[in-house]
Amino acid sequence: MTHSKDLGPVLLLPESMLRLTGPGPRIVELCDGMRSLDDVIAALQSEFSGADPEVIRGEVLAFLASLREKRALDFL
Amino acid sequence: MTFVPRALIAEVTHRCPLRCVYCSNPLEMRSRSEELSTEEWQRVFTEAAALGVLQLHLTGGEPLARPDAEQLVRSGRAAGLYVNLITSGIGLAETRLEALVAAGLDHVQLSFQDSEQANADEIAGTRAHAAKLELARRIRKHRIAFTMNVVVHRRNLARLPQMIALAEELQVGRLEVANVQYYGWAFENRSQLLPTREQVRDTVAIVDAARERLKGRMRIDCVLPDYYARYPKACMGGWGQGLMLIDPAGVVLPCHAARVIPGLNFDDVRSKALRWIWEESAAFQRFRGDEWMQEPCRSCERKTRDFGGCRCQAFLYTGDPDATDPVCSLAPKRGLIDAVIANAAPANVQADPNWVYRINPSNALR
Repeated sequence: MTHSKDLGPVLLLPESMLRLTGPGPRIVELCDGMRSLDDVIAALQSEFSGADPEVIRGEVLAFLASLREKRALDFL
Repeated sequence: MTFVPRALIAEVTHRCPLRCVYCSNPLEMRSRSEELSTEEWQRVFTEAAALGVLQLHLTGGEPLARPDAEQLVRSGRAAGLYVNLITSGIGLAETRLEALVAAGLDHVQLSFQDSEQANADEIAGTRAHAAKLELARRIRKHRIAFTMNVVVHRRNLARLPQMIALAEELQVGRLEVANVQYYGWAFENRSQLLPTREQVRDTVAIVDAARERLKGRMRIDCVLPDYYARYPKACMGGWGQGLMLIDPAGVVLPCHAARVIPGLNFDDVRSKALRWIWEESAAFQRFRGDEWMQEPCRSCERKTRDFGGCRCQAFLYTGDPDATDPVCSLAPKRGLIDAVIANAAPANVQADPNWVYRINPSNALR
């Protein structure tokens, strides 16, 4: 993941890139190869304490599933 | 109109151990004595990043033919770029692979010419297939993105399912099914490389099925030959719009083939700043916007999507780089492409194709 001056946070992949918006960059940052899926979700739930934790869980799972489908991410 | 380049294709050398008949390098190649130094590339990467470039593709020829490949990777990483190595894999011993990964390599794209050794080695013009298999098994042990790029054409599309199976066996994260693009050496050999229409149809079906089956495990990207398309490709995302290529001597180009177009003066990084070349040089401005377009492109609603197609292809076929790309179904000269397709009929496939093999550049001073 890098920060482009004009595009903002982007996740760079072979031959393509994904512009990350909203909580996207923070989620990617949390996926450090050490944290479990539950750890990532818990971290976001505490960082966005005003939002419904179940909604956060659902959105994180959907976001990560789409990254996995694009082969931007692996569950170790 | 400002265009921000996102990718830099760094052709660091034209030297290569392979002689692939589909190579898109220009026929007139740069000799070793003309090559930019390590320091010159380092400066180029920094300038490119300042312009907005995010991705660096180290290619050639064979980029590993440069003994400073590790430093080039390090310089790319230091400039903040995503570093991709596009390689034949020949001679990539484990210690060198480790050094490249440690230097900051993000992604390796390894070429395969076929699923079967004899056919692969015929296309490459040398024994290479076994070494690639051995390397692939080692690459996947490293924490690095790995793409298998298999160049497909009439002579190997029958084995597309086996090539996909090979990609699965090698556990690549991404497979690129890359139909030959007809420039350079590929243009010379096009009558023996162009697939039949049936083969193109089968390719789409096979790739679609494999994508479904491998969803989440492997990403498959597929490029079809534009000769069979109804409309042209948005070549390079448009001339001088998203992408630039720098050849081994530091000449900055909008694509691999642009030097075929006469009357254009391409500047090099030794004499001009990269920013000036990208933003202001006449060569880069030449086909930006739509003022240069002929009909039907000028009035076509697709012009902002495909930019009239490929200028080099227009020149190669019609002699006029401003012409509509002849692959377009609306192009006045579409018949020139139809003639090549007619010649690709199964009945005309030669058992012994008389390939024009890629040569290596001489070491003579220019």
